[in-house]
Amino acid sequence: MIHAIPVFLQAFPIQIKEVNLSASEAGSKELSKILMISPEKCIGCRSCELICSFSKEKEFNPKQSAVSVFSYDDAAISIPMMCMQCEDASCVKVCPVGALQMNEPGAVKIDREKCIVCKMCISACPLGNISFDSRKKKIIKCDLCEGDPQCEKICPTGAIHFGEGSSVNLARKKSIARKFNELFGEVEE
Amino acid sequence: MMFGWTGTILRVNLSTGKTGREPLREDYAKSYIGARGLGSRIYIDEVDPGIDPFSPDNRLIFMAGPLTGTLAACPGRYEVVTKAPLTGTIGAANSGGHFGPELKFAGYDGIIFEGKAASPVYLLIEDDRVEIKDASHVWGKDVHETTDTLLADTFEDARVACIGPAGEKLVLFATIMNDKHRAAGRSGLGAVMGSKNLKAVVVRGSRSVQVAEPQKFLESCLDARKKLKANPVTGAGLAAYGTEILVNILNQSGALPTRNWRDGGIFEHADDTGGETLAKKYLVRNKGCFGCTIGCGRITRIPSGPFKGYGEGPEYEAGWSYGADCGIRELDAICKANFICNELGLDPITMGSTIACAMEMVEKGIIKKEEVGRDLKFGDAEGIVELTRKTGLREGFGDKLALGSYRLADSYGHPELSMTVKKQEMPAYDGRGVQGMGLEYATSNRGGCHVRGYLTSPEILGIPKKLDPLVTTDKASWLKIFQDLTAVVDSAGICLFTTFAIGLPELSEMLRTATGVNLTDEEVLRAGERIWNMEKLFNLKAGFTKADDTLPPRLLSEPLPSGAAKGKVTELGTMLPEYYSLRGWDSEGVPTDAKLKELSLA
Amino acid sequence: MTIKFFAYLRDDTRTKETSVEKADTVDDLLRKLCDIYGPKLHRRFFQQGELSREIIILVNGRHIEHLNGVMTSLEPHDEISIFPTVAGG
Repeated sequence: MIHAIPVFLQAFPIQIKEVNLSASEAGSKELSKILMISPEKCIGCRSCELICSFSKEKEFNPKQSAVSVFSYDDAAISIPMMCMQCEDASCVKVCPVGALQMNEPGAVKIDREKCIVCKMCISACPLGNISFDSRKKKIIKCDLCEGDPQCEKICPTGAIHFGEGSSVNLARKKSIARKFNELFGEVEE
Repeated sequence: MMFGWTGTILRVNLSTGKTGREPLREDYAKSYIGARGLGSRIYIDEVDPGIDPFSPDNRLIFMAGPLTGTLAACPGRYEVVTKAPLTGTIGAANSGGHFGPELKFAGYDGIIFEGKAASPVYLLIEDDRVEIKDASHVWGKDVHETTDTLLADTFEDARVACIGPAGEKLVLFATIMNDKHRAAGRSGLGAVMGSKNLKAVVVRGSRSVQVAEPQKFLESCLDARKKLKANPVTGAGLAAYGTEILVNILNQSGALPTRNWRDGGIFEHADDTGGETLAKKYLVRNKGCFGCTIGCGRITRIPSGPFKGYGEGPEYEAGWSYGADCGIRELDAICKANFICNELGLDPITMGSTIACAMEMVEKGIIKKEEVGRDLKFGDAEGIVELTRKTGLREGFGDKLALGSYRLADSYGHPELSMTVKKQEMPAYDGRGVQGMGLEYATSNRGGCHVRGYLTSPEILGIPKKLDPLVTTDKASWLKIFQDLTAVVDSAGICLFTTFAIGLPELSEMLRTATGVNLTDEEVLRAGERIWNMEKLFNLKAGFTKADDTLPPRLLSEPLPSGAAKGKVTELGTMLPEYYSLRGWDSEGVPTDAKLKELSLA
Repeated sequence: MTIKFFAYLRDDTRTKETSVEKADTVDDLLRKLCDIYGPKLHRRFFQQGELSREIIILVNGRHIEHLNGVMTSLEPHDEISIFPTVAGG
C-alpha cells in the first residue's frame, strides 16, 4: 500500500485524502465479523444449542439457547437459526427503555439493568430470533458471546462460521469457481 | 440433588392409568450408572425371569444415562429394557436420535411402564405434566405418520418414540422407533410395547440438565470431542461413508456371510452394496444424533424405479442381511427394504436373515413356493421388499416370517438352517473368519449380537490393536474387556462409536465431573462387569444353560470354502472354557459366589 | 497381480482396480503405485517414511500384520486390497 501511494499522488491527487481517511478508519476499528450459516453442512446435532445455554447459564437446556436448529425431514436439511444482528434492528427501535443497542463486536446486546422484560422485542423481530425463558423470566437473544461465538467453536462441521463480512462467503464462492478449473484449466493438477 | 442424573423416574401403570414419580436410588446410580445398567437393575428387581414378555405384569423400561443430554461425546443415547420376545433373554436395546435427551430435559432419567391399557394409548410428558392419552386415531399407522400426527396433536418441538404396525401385531422382532429413523432395534422390544397397547411416548422438556463441576466437565467433553475429530474413523470416515463401508473390507477378508452363511464369506457382488456405492448413488446427506460430532447417519433417496423411496440408512448389518445374506446386489432394493423396516418398525437384521433362511429352505424344497406366494430364491430383489412389507403387517407368508428364522425353520423341521444364537440372528461377520466374533455371538447376553462385544474392531480394523482374526489366542480376554466396557458406554448414555477414538479414562472423567461421584476408572469398568454378570444371572434363572452358549452347526462344522479363512470353523470349544474361567464363572458358565461377592451382586 | 482400492483411495486413483506386472514385496508394490498415481497416494500410504497406521493392506485376504508386514513377498497371481481405516459398525 505504501508503495502505491506515490502512484495515486501522480494520477489522482484528489483521492489521496480519501485513501488516507480510509486507512485511518480501518486502523481504529476491527473489520466487522458476521455469523454465516451453511445449512448444507449442518448435521442437525444441536451442539450449538447446548453450548449456548451452557455458556450463559452453566446448564444444558436447548430452550435457554439463543440458537435453534430446525430440521426438515423431507428436504433433508437442517438450519441453525440465531439473531442476525440487523444493522437496522427492529428490536432496537421498539424497545421502550433503550435496553437493546449495537455494540463493538457487532452484536445487538441487551442491557439487563435497563431491560424490563416487556417482551416487545420478541414480537418485533421479523426473523423470530428472540425468545423468552419462561423459567428464569428473561429475554433470550444471541449476543455473539463478546465477539467469540461459542456455537461456531463447538460446531463439528463448520455449518456456523464467524468471519469478516467481505470474505465470509469466500469458501462457497471458491468451490463454485473451482468448477471452471475443470473446464478451462491449462495446467494439470 | 443429583447431577448428570435428574434423580427422578416416572412410573406409569397402564392398567390403572396411574402415574407417579420415584426417586432414583443413589446406590443404584453409582453401581449401575444409568441407561442399560440401571434399567436392567430395576427391571430384574421387579420381574420374574420366567414371565411371558407379553404378560401385562411385564415391565417395559426406557432409561437415559447421566451423560444423556449434555455436551459429552455423542450424548444422545438411551436404552429400552424388558424380557425379549424373540429370545426370552433379558432384552436391552440402545437408540440415538433426540428422544433420550428430551426425556432428561423434561426432568426424568427414565420411565417404567407396567400393566396393559384397555385400548391404544400414548403417554404425553411435558415437564411435570404426565398424561395417558387416547391413541386410537394412530393405531395401525406407520412410524412416520404416527410421529407427524402426534407432534401436530401436541407440540411441534416434542420428540416421539413409537411402534409401527409390526409392534402392534406382536412381530417378534418389532422395534421401537424414535425421531422417525432411529431404532431401539433388536430382540422385539416393540412387540412388548404393542402388547401393552402403548403406541407412543411423546415428550417435551424445558428444564436443564446440570452437572456437578461445569468447567471441568466442559473441558473433559471438549477433550473427548477433539479426539473424536482427530481420529480417521470418527472424524471423517463414518461421516463420508457410513458403516456400510465395512462391506468391502469384510468381503476381502473372506468373512462376509453369504446366502444364509451357506456360501462362505465372499459375495461376488459385495461392491455393489457397499458404502462407496451408497455414497455415490443414493446418499443425500449425512446426519448426526443429539450432540454428535461424527454424523454417521445416512439420509438416502432412491429417486426412481420400482424401489423408489426415501429415508435413513441402511447401516452395515441391515445392508448385509438384505444384501450378501440374501444374495442381492441391487442396492436400491436393499435401501427400500430398510426404509420399510423403519416405517413399519421392524429389525432389518432379523428380517433379512429370516428371509435368507426362507430362501435356502425354498431352494432346498423344504418350503413350497406356493406357500410363500412367490418363487423365493437367493437374489430375489423384489422378494425382500414384498416380504418385509408382508411381515410388518403379518399378511400371508409374512405371518410366519414374523416369528423369526429360528421358529420358522424349526416349524419345518430344520432349525439348523436358522443362523441364530438363542433364537436371535447373528449379524454380518462370519465367526469362522473372525474367531472372536464367533465367541461374542455364543456368549452375548441377548443372543446373536455383534455390537456388545465388537471384536471386529481389533480383529479386522486393527483398533486399538491388530489381532489375527483366524486365531483363538487371547480372544476370550479381549472379549471380556470389550463386553464390560460396552456395558458401561451403553449405561453412560453415549454412543458406542466414540470408543474408536476414546476409552475408559475419557469416559470416566466425563462421568466423574458430570455426576460428582468419584468413581475410579477401575470402578467404572467394574460397573460394566457387574452389569454383564447381572444380565447373565437373569438369563440363567430364565432357563438358559451352557448348552445355549453355542453356535449353529454351520459355524461349528461347515468349514469356509474359500478366501483367507478357507477351511476354518469357529473353534468355540477352545475359546469358551477360557472365557468362562476369565469371567470367574464355573465350567457350566455360572458366576461363582466369589465373583458375585466381588461385584456386590451376592 | 491385482490391486483393489477402496473408500477414498478410489477417488485418489480414480479407479477401483488395477494390475501391476511385478513387485517383489508389498513395499515395492506401494512405491510402484505411488509412481503411477502420484504424491497424493504417497501421502496416504506413508507417514514419516513408515507405512501409515491408517492404511490396511490385505494380501489374498490376509492382513500383512500377520504375514511379513511391508516386506511380505508377493507372487504374480496375488490379490492385494488396500483400505483406509474408515469405519466400524
